[in-house]
Parts: sequence; C-alpha cells; structure tokens
Amino acid sequence: MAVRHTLCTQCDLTLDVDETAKSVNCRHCNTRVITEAMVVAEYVAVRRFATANRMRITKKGIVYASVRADALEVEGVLQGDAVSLTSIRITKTANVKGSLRAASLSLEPGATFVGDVAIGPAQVPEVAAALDAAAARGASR
Amino acid sequence: MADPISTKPEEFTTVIGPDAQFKGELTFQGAVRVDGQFEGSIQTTGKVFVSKGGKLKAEVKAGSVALEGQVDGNLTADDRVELRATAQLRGDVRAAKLLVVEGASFVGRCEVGPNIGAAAPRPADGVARPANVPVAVARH
Repeated sequence: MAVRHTLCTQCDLTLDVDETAKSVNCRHCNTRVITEAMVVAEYVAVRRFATANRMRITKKGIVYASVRADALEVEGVLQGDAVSLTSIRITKTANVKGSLRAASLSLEPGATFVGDVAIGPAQVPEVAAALDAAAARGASR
Repeated sequence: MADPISTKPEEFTTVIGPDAQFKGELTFQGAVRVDGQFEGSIQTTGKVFVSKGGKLKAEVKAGSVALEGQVDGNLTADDRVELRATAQLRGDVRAAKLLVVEGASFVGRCEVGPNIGAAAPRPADGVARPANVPVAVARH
C-alpha cells in the first residue's frame, strides 16, 4: 500500500492517505476530505471546490468556486479564489479571475488573469507548519 | 514558451551601479539596469532589469521588466514582466505576459492578458472589463 502525505483541505493538518483512496475522513477534524486527482471538464458552480490532490480544469471546464488543491492547472475558466500548496499553472487558453495563493505560479503567454496574487514559499505557511509538526512528532518518538 | 527577456550587460545603456542610490524620476528611451537602489519612478519604452542585489521602490512603466532583486511598487509593461527565482515583488503588475519562476515571491494585484498592458486603457474603477461584457444597469 503506497501512502501519500498531504494536508486536510479543511483544518490543514497532516494526513497520510492511500495513493488510491478517493476520499478519507480527517482524523483531526473528522471532515470528509476528497483525495483523488480531479479533472474538471464541465461547468461547476459551488462555494468551495477542494481536493487534497492535483486539480486540472480543462479547456472545457468552467469553474465558479473557491478552489483548493495540492497542485492546480487551469486551461479553462476559473472565477474565484484559488489556493495551491505547490504550484498554480495557468495555460495560454485560460481565463482566471480571483485571488491566487501558492508557492509558485506559471502563467503562459496568452493567458488572461485578473486578481490578487500571493506567490512564494512564504505565502503557503500551512505546508511549513505541517512539516514542522511532522518533524516534532519524529523527534518525540 | 516565448524567449526570456535578454539581460546581457552590453544591452543596457543606463546602469545604476551596485554602490549607487538614486532618488527621482527617470524618463528615457532604452534599457536600464538597476544593480543599486532606486526610489521614484521609471518610464521607458525599453526594458528595465533589476539585478539580484538591486532594490527598487518605484512606479515603473516600461516595455518589459525583468526582476531578480527586490521591488516595492507597481509595474506596468507593454509586453512582459519576468520574476526570476530570486525576485521579490510587492506591488501590482499590469502586463500582456507574466512569468513567475519557482522561488520568486510576489504579493499584489495582477492584470495579465493579451489585451492588457500599458497601451490598454485602464477603467476608472481600476478593474479591466472585457469589451464584450455588457455593463449591468440597476433598475429602480
């Protein structure tokens, strides 16, 4: 069983999940956390759209939501705030409106983006906090 | 991916050296390289390059901007803005293209797209509105 380390999309505490698991219950906050990689190729309008894995909004995808993912790739339309623990990639066909927060941002020439950005390793403190907590747990064992 | 902004030393006609501090307004045609400290505003149709040790506290309007150092201020570019791995930007960006290399830090507002740049008119409310989107009218 291959285990993957990630963060709960609700409480930002560490989760060890099976690579193949589609969702798990967070052992800290008891919330249902989606852990499967998402490919969005349709219209989605919800308040919050989150996965503790990769998310890709394809050219046909139109998302009106606050998005949270481990890594985010936008080829279609995204309107709403987005948080990625690692990177956000906005391709040339994308149209994004909202605030972005991630460790790194890649914007291809031709992409349209309007909004606030907070990019850099320091802008994703939940990752550093999780690493610190994991290190502290390791030291106490 | 398009070619990155060339930052060869011979391309820069104006250089603010590493031990120099400049305060004021800089308007010219050509390229400037900031290795030292600059405070004020820069306006050019050419390129602006802030090297690794460079510090800029300025409003910049240029053809293209490449950053490796620290910048506090708003950047407007006709073509592209590049934030390289060591770049730290606090301010707004308005350009046709934006490249943020992994490791760069950027906090601010951003307007990027083929129809956005220094040449595109800025709406009064500060938010670019696509031409084909009708303006909502309140009915009483």
